Amino acid sequence: MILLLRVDHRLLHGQVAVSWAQGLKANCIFCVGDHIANDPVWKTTLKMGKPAGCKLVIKDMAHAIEAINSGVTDKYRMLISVQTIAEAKQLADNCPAVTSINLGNTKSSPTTRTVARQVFLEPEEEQMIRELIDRGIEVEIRPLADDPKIDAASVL
Amino acid sequence: MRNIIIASHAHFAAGINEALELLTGPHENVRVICLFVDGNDDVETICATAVEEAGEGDVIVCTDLFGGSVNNEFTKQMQLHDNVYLITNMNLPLLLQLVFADDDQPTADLLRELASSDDARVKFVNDLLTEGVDDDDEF
Repeated sequence: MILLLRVDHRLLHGQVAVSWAQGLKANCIFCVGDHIANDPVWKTTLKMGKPAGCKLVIKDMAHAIEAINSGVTDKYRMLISVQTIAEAKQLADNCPAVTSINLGNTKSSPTTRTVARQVFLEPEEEQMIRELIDRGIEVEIRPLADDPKIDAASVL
Repeated sequence: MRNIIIASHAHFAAGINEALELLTGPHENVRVICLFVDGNDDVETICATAVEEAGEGDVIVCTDLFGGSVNNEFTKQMQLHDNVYLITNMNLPLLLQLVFADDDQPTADLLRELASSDDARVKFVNDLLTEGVDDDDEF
């Protein structure tokens, strides 16, 4: 069961390990991305920082899509973390089980627009979000589990 | 709900509470006391008043340093009030566990557990790497 698909460029950190994992009573955190799956330093750091009582799995995009669609992840209360909106969209495009995307932290750049305290969007990311919303995928902004949901459509 | 007082020398209490809120959101049952700054020098009165104001229910006081004057002052208060529970050498993992703690557990049992918990110890991270990280990484 997918409890949350979160876009967070820091992946697994204090807000995720504490507020989200505890708030949703997750027992599995799934970090997905081609870059992190092939970076031993990132992998070791993620494994070391995982919350107690939580399983941590790290996979590249292709293997992640395969795992989610195969049903092996169904038995977990799972929180999926990706670094970018493009990666979240890839999962949503390929996995019917993904129905909602949480925007947590995205990176700012000279070409991003600030839409929330922790969320900065490139023009092409705004386009991706519009596409997702049009297809009926929920896209919401929340830093912490107890924060009120902000509908991404309202800030585009 | 238990009341929590976070007290320290200088702005450590405000700072650690700010970090706690960043990670977990605001908590209406948490009160912060920063002593020996901003004119808060009368540690005896300030600590006594804080305990009075916290009311009848269980009050957990977290201080910065065992043997420091802030903790010493609350050690007096603890002896005067049955509802005051005192934890010192506080850190962020301890406070996180405290705000997520079950309200039904007796406060003394909860604090005994937290004070001996591995999560709230300081850790030498280099050695954790040598010990090897958890390799249970498949579904």
